[in-house]
Amino acid sequence: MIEINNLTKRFEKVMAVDRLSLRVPDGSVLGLVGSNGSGKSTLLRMLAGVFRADSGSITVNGRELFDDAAAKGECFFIPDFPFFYNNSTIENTAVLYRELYPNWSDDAYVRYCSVFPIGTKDKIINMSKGMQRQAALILALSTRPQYLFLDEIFDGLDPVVRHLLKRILIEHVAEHRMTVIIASHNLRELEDLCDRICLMHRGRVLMERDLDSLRMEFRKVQVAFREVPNMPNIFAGIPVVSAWRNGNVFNVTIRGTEEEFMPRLNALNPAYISAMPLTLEEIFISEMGAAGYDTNTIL
Amino acid sequence: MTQTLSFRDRLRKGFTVFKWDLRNCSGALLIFAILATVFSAIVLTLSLTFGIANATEEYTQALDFEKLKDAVMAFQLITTYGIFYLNAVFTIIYTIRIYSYLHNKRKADMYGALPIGRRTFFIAKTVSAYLLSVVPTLFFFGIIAVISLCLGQPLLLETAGVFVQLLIGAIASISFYALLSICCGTTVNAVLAFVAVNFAYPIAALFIKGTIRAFFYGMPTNLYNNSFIMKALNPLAAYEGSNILYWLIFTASCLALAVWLVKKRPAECAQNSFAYYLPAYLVKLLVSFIIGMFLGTVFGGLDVFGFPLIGFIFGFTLGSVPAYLIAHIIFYRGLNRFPRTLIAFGAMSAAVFAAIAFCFFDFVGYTAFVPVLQDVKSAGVVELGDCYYTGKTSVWNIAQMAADDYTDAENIKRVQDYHRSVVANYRTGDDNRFTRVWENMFLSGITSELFSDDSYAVAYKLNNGHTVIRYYSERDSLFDSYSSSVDYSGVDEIVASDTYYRNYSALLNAQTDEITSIAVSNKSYNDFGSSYSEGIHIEEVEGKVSEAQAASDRRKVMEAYRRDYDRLDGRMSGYLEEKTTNPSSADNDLYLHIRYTLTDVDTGSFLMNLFGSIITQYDKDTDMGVISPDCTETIQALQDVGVLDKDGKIDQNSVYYFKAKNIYEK
Repeated sequence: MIEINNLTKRFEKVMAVDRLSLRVPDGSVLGLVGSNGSGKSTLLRMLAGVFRADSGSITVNGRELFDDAAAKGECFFIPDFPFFYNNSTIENTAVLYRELYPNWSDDAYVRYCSVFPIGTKDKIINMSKGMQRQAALILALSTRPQYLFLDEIFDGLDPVVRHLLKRILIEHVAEHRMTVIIASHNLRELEDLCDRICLMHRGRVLMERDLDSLRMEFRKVQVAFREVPNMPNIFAGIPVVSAWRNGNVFNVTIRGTEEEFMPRLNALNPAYISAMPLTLEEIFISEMGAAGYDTNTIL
Repeated sequence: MTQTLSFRDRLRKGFTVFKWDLRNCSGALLIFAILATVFSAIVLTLSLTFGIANATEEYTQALDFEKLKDAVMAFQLITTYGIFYLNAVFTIIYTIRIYSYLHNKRKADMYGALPIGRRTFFIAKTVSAYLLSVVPTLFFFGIIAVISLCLGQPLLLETAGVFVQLLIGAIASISFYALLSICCGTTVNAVLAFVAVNFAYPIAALFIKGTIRAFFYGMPTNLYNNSFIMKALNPLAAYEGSNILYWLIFTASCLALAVWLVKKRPAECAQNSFAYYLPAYLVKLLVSFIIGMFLGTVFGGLDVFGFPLIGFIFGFTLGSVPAYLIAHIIFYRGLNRFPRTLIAFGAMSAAVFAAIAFCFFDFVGYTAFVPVLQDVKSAGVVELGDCYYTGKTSVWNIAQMAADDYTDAENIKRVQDYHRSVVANYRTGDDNRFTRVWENMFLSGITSELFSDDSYAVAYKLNNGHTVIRYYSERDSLFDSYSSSVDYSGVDEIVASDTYYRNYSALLNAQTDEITSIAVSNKSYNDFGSSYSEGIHIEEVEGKVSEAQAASDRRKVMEAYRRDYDRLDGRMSGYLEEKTTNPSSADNDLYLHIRYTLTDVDTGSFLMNLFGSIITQYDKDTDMGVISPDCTETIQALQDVGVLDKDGKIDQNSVYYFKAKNIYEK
């Protein structure tokens, strides 16, 4: 279990993480989503023990992670730009990790080297961005981490490898109760992988929810009228998050289930009505809009 | 809760880090090995080629192995020094590479997340830097030693000494760079800070030394000379191999501070200017200080506003402000945080102006102070060029001895008269002391001052228990002036007195085992080493007199002479004075010349070295006395050892008699 309490990190005048509290149960996959500069990467670095928090605490199974070598041995962090020396190959970098990580598995190393289609003796620095990510993943998974922190891991991976990675992660979570925290702007991929989502903005958690319940919480509704009712606020009494009108057709995002809002919409006597769950991206845009971060505000 | 790793686990992880660094520096190591091998091979080939040619007999073609040893010795020394300098260059490469993990955000991500403590990791990195610097060189020194030994020449002490120099230099420099690396956010800043501190610190120390010596006329100190203070923040000086204890303490301090800071160091500082601002302040203040002092002393010396102090302030400001600004822009990549760092600069400038004003106006009256007679308990003066203790200890210690010499008003007044005339000469000299700063910066010792016999130490013991000591050298331009009004009459009388002779002549004070030769002749001038002279030298004579026997004879003669001197109670010095001032009548007189070497030389206490009291130089190694007819014990002793015949004349049949061939003789 990862427990974060009142975590704060400031870079000179910028408040990167602001009194953030979060609990991540073992065996779960948490997606960190948020606006640029919302503090996702900083949070991951503090989780990995790279940055020290200004205040607050992070504990992993009750242990403070920062500078605790034993606790760090159960974690692995792949940053958004993993570092490799000019002469690094997967093979020679594995020598370092093999001796530093207590759970390193040669079997896992051999397996992942064969699963991911890259050469273990090739210089990593000469590889493409996606291949460098794969190299980092091979090394990370070979340490058999109990906690895996991934920053923009899907960036540069082709669809097949993305699919492969998701399968491997899910397999690890299921078999070894590995906990994964992924920060990404690729919400489509997170949707497939995460069981929980944490939405961050300006260093704070806007919401943190189980993904299924989150998706069930919002509905994208299209309502068409033969004649638009002549009322100041058509959707009064319905928890509308956002609405967009095109002639007699309204596209409305509503918080709640069909059972809750359909009777009220039907009372408006629409010609056509359809409701479906929101994608994560739509939830993100909707929630960020509510937090004052939408295209209208920005423009 | 923090779970601690066992020492063994840390050691294992540290070793892993070392292997990782070894792998990453393998390219540079390989280049070092190739260059060192090729260099050694070239030197060996050339040494042997020339050595064999030189050691081969022209006719018999036999090889003289003793001569060949010289060639091997040359190989050993040239290769050792070559590898020494090569190592210094590669140490820079390894060290910068090893600590670059602190200066790159991506590296910080990688290393910060590794399951190894920050301190363990840093220590492992530092040990890696030490080992990569020292072990390959030790390996090559080993090869040089083996090759030399195979060719019949054991390892020279100098070669082993070079390795000690390298070891001390490497660990001191690496540790200092490690500390700066932790404080700096970028490699460029760390390297700049290292270079700037190494060069700016000694120059700043020179300026302080020059200023104090220039303004505090008569101060018997050679600030920082022979002391580690001159090079305290210049670990490159550790490669000289001196002050080893200081450099070990320096290394340990840098490491302790670095280990303490590394855990607190924010990783996000990578690629930012600084994690801790200490080096930035240090460099900016040092650089602005030396540039300011440079222009300040120039403008002060040129007296640009008709008043030297104003000229100094103008020059200092003109130099230091732009230097501080430029250093800030370079380190901070702009003017970020500039206003808040001005406080330190302002404080430094104020301190400099206050210190210079203090020196300039001499608020404590140091230069003009001559104690009044009523306050003086005793006094003395020593002509350092005619003093046995010169070369044995510092001016400070010699003056401390002299302070007790005379308690009578007449002699104290003689000392005061000389002292007052020097002070008066200084005060009427209309001398701008800013012009003296530079010459005093680079005055490293007083060898030549003493050689000219024109340096004096003046000392008073006051009734309140304090001792006043001044040191004046006639090398100072104040003495060169035609208007110089220094009164030597009193000093000359003191130096010619029996008390002075008893206290400071080598003849009466040198230890008998320090005396390496005694010459007995009819000449008052020193004939040691002269190829034209003949006479008696009581020293080892090959095949006739052993050194032990000669030493025993010298002891007998010296003891007898000193007994005579005591017995004759003051008459000897007057007799000597008479004979040396009237050499024409000296033909029938006998003179005793001694040549000595100093043992038990006081190399200076820790504190003395710290404050840099002038260590006098060993220039004089002979002394002369006259053997008057009253010196019966001496004459008897000389007869006993076979130097004089029964008539008291030099015995030309003595085993100690020699006659050097005159080049004009046929």
